[in-house]
Amino acid sequence: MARLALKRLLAAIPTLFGAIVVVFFVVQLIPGDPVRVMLGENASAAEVEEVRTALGLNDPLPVQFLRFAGRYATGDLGVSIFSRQPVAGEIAQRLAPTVQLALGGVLVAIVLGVPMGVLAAARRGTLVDHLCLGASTLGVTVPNFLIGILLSFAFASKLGWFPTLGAGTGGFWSTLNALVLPSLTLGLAGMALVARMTRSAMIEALGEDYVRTANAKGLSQRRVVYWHALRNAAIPIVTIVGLNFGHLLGGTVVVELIFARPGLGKLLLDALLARDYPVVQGVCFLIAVLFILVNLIVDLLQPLLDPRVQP
Amino acid sequence: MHRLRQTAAALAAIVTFATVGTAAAAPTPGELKVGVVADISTLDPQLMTNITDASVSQNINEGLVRFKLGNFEIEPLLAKSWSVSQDGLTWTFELVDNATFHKGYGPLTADDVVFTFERLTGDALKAPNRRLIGSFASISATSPHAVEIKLSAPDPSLLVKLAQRATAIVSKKAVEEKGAGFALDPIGTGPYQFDSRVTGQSVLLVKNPDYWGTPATLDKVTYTPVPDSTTLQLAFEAGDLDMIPVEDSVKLAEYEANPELTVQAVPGLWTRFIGFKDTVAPFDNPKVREAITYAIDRENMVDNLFKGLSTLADGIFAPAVLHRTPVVKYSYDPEKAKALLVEAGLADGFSVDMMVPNTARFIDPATAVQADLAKVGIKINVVPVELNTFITTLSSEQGYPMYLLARGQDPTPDRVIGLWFLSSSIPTTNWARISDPEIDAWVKQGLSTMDEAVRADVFAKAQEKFFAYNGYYFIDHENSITVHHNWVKNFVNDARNSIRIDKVTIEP
Repeated sequence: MARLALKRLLAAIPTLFGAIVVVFFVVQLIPGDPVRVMLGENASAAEVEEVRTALGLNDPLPVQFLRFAGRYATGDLGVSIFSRQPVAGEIAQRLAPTVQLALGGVLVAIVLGVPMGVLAAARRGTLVDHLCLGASTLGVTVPNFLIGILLSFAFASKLGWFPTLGAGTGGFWSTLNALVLPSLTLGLAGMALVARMTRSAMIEALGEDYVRTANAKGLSQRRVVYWHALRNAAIPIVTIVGLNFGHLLGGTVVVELIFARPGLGKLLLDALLARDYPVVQGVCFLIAVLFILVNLIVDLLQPLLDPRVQP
Repeated sequence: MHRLRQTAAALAAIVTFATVGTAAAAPTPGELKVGVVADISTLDPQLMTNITDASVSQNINEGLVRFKLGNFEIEPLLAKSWSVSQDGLTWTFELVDNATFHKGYGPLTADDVVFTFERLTGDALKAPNRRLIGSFASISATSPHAVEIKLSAPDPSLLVKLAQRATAIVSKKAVEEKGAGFALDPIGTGPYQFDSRVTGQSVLLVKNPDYWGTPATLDKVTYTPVPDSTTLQLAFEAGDLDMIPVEDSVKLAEYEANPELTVQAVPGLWTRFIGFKDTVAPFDNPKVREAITYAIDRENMVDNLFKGLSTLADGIFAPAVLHRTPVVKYSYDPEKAKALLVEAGLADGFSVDMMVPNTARFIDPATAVQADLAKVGIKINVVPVELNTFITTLSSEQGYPMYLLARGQDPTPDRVIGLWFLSSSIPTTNWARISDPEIDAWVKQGLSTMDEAVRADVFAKAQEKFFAYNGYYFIDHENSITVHHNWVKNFVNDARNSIRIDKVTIEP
C-alpha cells in the first residue's frame, strides 16, 4: 500500500510539471493585458508601457517562464498583480470554504444518490424506478445556477432558515448552516450521476450467482441488497465519485457566485477576467494537485473494497 | 411509496412557504450593511484601481481635499487652506493641526504627506496611478503642518486629483511598519477605522473614537461583496443588506414602486456610444457616419429598453463633468438616412461586424441598434468579445471598424479630453482616429491654462468640432443607482457611485 502510494506520488511529479507549463503558456495566449484592466480604458500608451515594464510583463516569455518555474521550484507561488498580496496567502484564505463545499457536494451526491440507485435497481421496472430515473435526469439537466437560485429564494430569502450569503460567521454550526444550500446545489448533479451508476452496477450485481445463493439460503431482501450486492457494486461507484470530483470543483465557481461564498472558483474567475497571471497559475496548480490527490485516494480505496485488486 | 409521499409533502411545504411573505427584515441600530458587487482587492490608497476599494477606503484614509457630498465641488479636508503661485507651478497647503492616525499611530504631520506623494510617484511601489499628477516635480514640508508641491507645468485640475484615492494620505509609520500588510490593515485619519476582513465575505469598519472632525454617525459599517445580481437582490429584499446598487430595469421599477424602499438615481460619469474607425471603408465616408445618426432611434432605446437605467446623452461628457457642453443633437429620420446612403454610393446598404463586450450592458443596446439599422439596409452582425480582449484590441493599431462601448470620465475633463481628442492619442485612446490640428490646439491650450473662462471656451469649441466628425454616435449616460431600505437616513448618491456615508444613520 505504502509502495503504491509512493509510486503514484512520484508519477504525479511529471504531471504537475506538465500542468504548470500548460498553465503558464495558455494564460499568456489569452489576448488582453492586466495593466489595461488596472488602468482602465482611459490609460495612455505610455502609462501602460511604464507599468508593464515595472511589473516585468515586457520581458520575453522564456525569461518570464524561467522566473516563474524558479519560483515554483522553491514553493513560491508569486504575488498577485492587483492586490500585491502573496498568491499562496490568497489561496489559503479561500481553500477551506471551497474544500468544505466540494466535500459537502460529494456527501450530498453519495447520501442521496446511492440509496436512490439501490432503490431503483431493487424495484427495477416499477414506478419507483421510473421516478428515481426521472429525478436523476432532472438533476443532470437542470443547471445548478437555477437550482441554487430557487433554493436560495425559498429557504434563505423567504423562510430565513439559512443565510442568503457567505460561508458563515465562523464557528462550527454557522459554517455548517451556510454550507447546506450550496452543497445541495452542487451535489444534485453528482447525485444524479451516482444514482444512475449505482442503479446499473446494482442491476448487474443482483444478477450474479452469489445473490441467487443468498436469496436461496433465505436471507432477507434487505440483507441481500445492502450487504451482498451493494458491496460489490461499490467499486464503480467510488471510481465515478472520484472522477466526478473534478466536475465538482468546476461547479464550485457557479455555486460560489450564487451564494456569494468566498472560494477558489471565484478567485480563479476574477483572476482570469483581470488577467492576474500569478493568481490564475497558482489556483490551476492547486487544482491539479487536488485532482491528483483525489485520484490517488480512489486508487488506494480499490483494494480495500475488492481484495482481488492487488495494491 | 411511503418515502415518496414524504418527499411530495416536503415539496408542497416548500411551495407554500415560498409564496408566503418575506421573512421579517430588521435593521441593526448603528450598523450599516452595504452590498457591493466586487470583493475588495486592496485598501492601500496608492495601489487602488477599483471602485469598491475606493468606496471602503474613503472612510479610512483622507485626502488633502475632497468632493462635497453629492457633487464635485472641492472642499478642504486634511488641508484647511491652500494657495497657488502666479505661474501655477507652486502649490502650498496648510494642514489641519489636530488630525491623528488610527490605533495610536500618532498625529498627522507634513512628513506623512510628503511620504505619501513620494510613495505614489516613486519607483519602488510601482503604483498604477503614479502618473496621475502628470506634471508632479517635487514635494517638501515647509513646516510641521504645511507642504509645498512643485509642478513642471500648470495643472488646472490638481485639486480634483488631490480628492482622488491615489493621493489619500497614509501614515508613514504604519506603512514602514506593516510593509505589504498595510494593504489589508490600513491606517488613516478618517472617521472610520479598519476592523477586520473575511476574504470574499465582508469588510468591517468601526467608528474612530478619536476622530479629529465631526464624529462618525454609525458604530459599524459592513461591506459584503455579492457578485451575482440575483443573490444581491434576494439578500437586500430579505433585509440582510441595507443598500445595494441597481442595474436591472425590472428590479428598478419594482423598487421604485415599493414604499418601504428609496431609490436614488443620478446620471453617472459614463457615456455609452457606438464608435467607428474613420480610416476604413465604409466609415471613411462622412456621409455613411452621418446616415447612421439618422437611422438610430436612441430615445426609444432609453425609454423602452433601459427604462430609467440611463439618461439620454446631450453631451460627449456626462452632465456632472466640468466644462461639458451640450453639443449632442440627433434626429431620427430613416428616410434621410437612406438618402445619405444613396449619396454615399451604398444604395443597397452594406453589412458589417459590430464588436461589443460580452455583457448585457452592451449586447442589449447593440441588438436595438441592429434592428434600427436593418431598416435602412445596414446589416449588423453583433460580435460579443470578452471585455479585456476587447479593450486591448480596440487600443491597438488594428482597432475595430465598428463597436459599442461605454467610457468613464472624471469630474474634470482634463484627463479624458486629452486622451480622446488629441491626434497624439491615436490609436491607444483616440479610437476614431480623429486628427484635427484645430482640436489639438484648443485642447492643449485648455490643458495648460489656469484661466477657467479660457478653458470653458476652448473646451466647448473642441467638443463642438469633435462631435461634428460623427466618429462616435453618443447614446446615453448610465445612471448611478442605489436603493436602500427606508430605515437608512441621509444617504446622498452621486455620479461616481462612491457610496458616501458621511451623514448616514439607521433609524428603525
